[in-house]
Amino acid sequence: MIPNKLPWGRWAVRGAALTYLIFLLIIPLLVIFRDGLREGLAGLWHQITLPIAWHALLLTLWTAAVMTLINTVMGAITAYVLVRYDFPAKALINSVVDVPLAIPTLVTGVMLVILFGPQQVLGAWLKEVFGISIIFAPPGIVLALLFITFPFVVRVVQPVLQNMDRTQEDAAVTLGAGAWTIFRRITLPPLILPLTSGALLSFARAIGEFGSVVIVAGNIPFYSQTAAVYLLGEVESENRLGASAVSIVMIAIAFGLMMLVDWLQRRDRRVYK
Amino acid sequence: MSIVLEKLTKRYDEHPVVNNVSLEIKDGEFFVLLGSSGSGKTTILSLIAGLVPADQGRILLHGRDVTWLPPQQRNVGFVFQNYALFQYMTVTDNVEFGLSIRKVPAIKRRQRRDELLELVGLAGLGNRMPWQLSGGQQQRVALARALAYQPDVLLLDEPLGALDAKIRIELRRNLKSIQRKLGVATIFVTHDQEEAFDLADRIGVMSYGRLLEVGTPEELYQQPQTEFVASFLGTANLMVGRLTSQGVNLGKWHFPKPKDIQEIGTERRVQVLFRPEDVALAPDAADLDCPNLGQADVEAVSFAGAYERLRLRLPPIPGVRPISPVVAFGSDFFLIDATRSPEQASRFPLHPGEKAWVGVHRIHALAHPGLNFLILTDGSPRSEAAISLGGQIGRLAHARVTLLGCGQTTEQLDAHLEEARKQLGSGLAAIETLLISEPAVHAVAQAVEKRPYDMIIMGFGYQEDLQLAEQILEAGEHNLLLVPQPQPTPSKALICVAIGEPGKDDVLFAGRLVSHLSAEATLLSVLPSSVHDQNMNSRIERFLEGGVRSLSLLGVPAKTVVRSGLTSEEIYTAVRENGYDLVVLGAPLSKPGRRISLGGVVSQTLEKITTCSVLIVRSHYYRG
Amino acid sequence: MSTVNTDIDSKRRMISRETPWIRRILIGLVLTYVSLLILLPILSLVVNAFQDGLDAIVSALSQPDVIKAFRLTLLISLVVVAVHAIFGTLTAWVLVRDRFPGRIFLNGLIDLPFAISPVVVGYMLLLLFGRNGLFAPILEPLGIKVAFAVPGMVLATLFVTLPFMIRELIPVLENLGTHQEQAASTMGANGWQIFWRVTFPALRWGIIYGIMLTLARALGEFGAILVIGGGIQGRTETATLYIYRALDERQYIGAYSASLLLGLFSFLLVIGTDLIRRRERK
Repeated sequence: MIPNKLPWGRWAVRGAALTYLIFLLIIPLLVIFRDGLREGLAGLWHQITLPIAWHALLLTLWTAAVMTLINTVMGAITAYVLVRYDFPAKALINSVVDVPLAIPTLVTGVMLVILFGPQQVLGAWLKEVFGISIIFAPPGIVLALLFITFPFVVRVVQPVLQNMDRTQEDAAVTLGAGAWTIFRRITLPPLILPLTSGALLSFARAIGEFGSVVIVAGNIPFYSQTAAVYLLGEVESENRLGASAVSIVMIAIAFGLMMLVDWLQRRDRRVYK
Repeated sequence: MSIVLEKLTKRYDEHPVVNNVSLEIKDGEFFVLLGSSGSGKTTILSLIAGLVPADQGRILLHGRDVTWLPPQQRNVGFVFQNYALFQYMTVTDNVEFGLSIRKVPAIKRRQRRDELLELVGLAGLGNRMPWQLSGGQQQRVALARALAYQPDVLLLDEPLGALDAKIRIELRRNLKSIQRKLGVATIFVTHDQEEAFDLADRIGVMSYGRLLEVGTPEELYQQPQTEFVASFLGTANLMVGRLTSQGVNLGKWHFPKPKDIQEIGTERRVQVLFRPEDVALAPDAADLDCPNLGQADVEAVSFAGAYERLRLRLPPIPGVRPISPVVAFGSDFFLIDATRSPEQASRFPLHPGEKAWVGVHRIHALAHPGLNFLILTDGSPRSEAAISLGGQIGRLAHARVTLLGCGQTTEQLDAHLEEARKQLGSGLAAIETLLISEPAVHAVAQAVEKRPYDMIIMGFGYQEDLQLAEQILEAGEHNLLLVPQPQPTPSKALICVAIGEPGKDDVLFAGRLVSHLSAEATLLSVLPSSVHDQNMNSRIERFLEGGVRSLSLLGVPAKTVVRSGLTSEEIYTAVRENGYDLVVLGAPLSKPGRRISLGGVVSQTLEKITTCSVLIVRSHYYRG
Repeated sequence: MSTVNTDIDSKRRMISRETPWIRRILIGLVLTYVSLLILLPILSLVVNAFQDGLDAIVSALSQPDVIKAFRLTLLISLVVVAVHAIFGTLTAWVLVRDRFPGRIFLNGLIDLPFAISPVVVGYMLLLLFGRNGLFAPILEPLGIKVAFAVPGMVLATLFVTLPFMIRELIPVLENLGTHQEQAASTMGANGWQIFWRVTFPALRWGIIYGIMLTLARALGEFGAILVIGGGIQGRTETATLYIYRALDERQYIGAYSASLLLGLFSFLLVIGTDLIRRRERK
């Protein structure tokens, strides 16, 4: 409900907002779709099933999936620890959670290469003892993604835990339940929705990540080249069809995921608390 | 005995929220803990359930000492104020929860669940989710859930508070009949007196963490032992009178001795209680068939359904101090609350402004505790002054005096206390000594925790003791009398007031004290010299006149003085010129965290005045 | 005495029921994770940047192309912030207060820049403004260069920072509710007055936070401006693009110093916002 008059009239404002959105969002999206579907769906399919492209897409998906799994568990634990426990350095950790949001992704990549790079002490040691390469290999991708998406799950779960009605837990205690039962049957259920939406957010964010990955992964085709990096290659070699096709797939995944998250968050609000 | 509490104490931030509570509840009894918010009643429930650990004392359930057991092992049923139903489970799952924890087989669980749902009137609603139910229904699920596994004890924390009046009454009746059927010992916590009366076999009244009285509803209503209970459990007409071997005197009005007072003992002051329904109203004294209190003016009449409520104004009765209904500052009359049945009202209709003779059918006498003083001494000469003045005032006020010796523990201090006690011994209502070998502030804090005091008396030297005075004021809700040097009993008091609500408290307490001393009082208000505002002047005059009236109600002759200038200077000049021997100041309102700073007017005044005692009065406005 | 009750409540919240062992393990786990994942990398950047001393950093950062790169970053970021401050506020207003078909769809679109890869963003703009782009026939005769020039980079940064302002303001507007605005209108205020005297002051902090978050994101933009800008040294090279080039050319001190500076600046911006927000809430 708008008060009887917006400044400059309702339509002018609507118009301005709409123009803003159209120019920055809708037109660019339309163009890509038109371009990628130039040779129809078959053409699109052909482009993305090229071995390099296909591998890049799969790599992107599974590294994002692994990262999401780790992030969800650790993010949930971190949120729980920050809300329910008191310990030295608690305030520090709470602030550190937000740090990844502040750091440019490129800088993230640089930091990780410095710390875990094969020439560095840590990196060399890991390679010798465990045979694992982190940098210039898929594990590095997962690591970079973990850094970047760390706040997503924590900050979504924290407020829900904070505002939880503790008397339900008190009631369970008087009814005889032990700590694990209480956690499983009373604390956890309200967290499922926020956890899921936090996980999906991390996943969506990870799919398109570029700045850190391009530094950390080494971008070796068929090994550590993600979809975004592959895309860059296609753009630079002016393969428009390939570039557009991959772009469409990435946009579709991103869009689908964001819609899902939005739906989940709306559902969460509807459950009577 | 189903539930036994022994000297249960719980502190938060060194503040006792539950203070030395002992209680026994019989098998099958429906016990109600009644008190206003903050009285500690909910905390007691949490202690019994084990949700909160106790600091001192023991809890026994059915003879089992559960004080150190976790809640899971205490087998209590707890119904929370906000229901605390498990939002993500159905009604069935909620009710069966306790049983599933106890590994009861599914068939039995379902049987029990059906029994309980039927018992609480929710049969067939098992598959609903909590948010699909109304408030009353949710509360019934909570009850069923708590009863499912047949707990030894049922605890209910203001369970009906969030419900509408009609539903509350209905649910209350259900609850009582269920409890009666099951015969489980129950503690029900509430602040609603009507609810307590309706449900309880016995009621325990709590205030500020202490359990004041325990009894059946009738006992507590008709024969309360304390002023707080008398006025909490319904409207009370309460005033201070004298009990003699012939009966009870309220000034010149005489009443027969109440039947429930056995021992005669010495003549003493009592609080006289009569309820509104005990009041009879008639056009003429001769028409009353009971002792009367004179002729009154009707102030207000209102219709309350089954009866008529009246408020009447009586001329002041010399020598009698009214306690309840509370008389507003500036009034010079007593108030009486009365109720009448519709027939009585039609026989003698009354409207505001008309007159009626007020008779009282039945009275009850409570022990009048009088004032409670604490005299602080550490053996120094200044303390001597405090002891001697404190003793004099205590004698005149029939106060109970506690002598607190603090500081290092030495035989000297011990002997000194004994001597002081002998010195004061005669003429006081009661005297006791306490030796706490800690610095003054801690000693006071400990003493106050055991029992609150009306006034603390201490020797005072401005240089050394200002901070101590502040700390002592912070330790409790008492007033503080500072005695700089030995002096005789005060006969001229100077009461310095700032106009406004807190100032009223200053006048009322000072007046009470001064009336015991049979002294005269002067009310002083000091204007900052720069202000010459007509509006302000008339407000001050009105306030001071109100003060004079209130003081006259207490039997204290008073006059007023207005000066302008620097407050502490003016007070000092007034003292010097007129020879006042007691100065009364209001303490500044406390800051957050209960800190009190006596800077400003109080400290300046204390610095200048070294010859007479200064009373610092705490306003009740510091609370919340 | 209600203060006592709320104190008790907040103390009760802290009570956890798990055994001390579980508590210690969980806390230890979190501390280890956070240290290894976040604190340690930051530390190693700082250490390595300083490995040749502060002088080396200063001299690396005083190179003309570095200074030019940072200046370009700031320029683009400030333009973007200005645009979003105005239009973002407007859009948030329309989304919250106005009802029109397709509102939910539009709402979902706003979050898209979060998830779309920056490379895709750059590519989209290239398709619009590049040599064979959609708008090329219009812009070329006018001599307006968007692709491989600063305007394109501004557009790209505008796209990726779109959601921040709007997302900050929407909850503020929702919480504000219309009651205050309605009250003002009953007291005779017109639309402008209502906006300036009632709504805007309430939005003030939201706008400030939105600006700071937008700025932090804009400073760090990389993928999109790499594609649309081309990273032409001295002309379309921002701080991030400089770092990329420096790494490629193995000028490690230069790369680390610039990373440190950029990271530090963004870090202070976001943490500062956080602190102000927390203090303001009290």
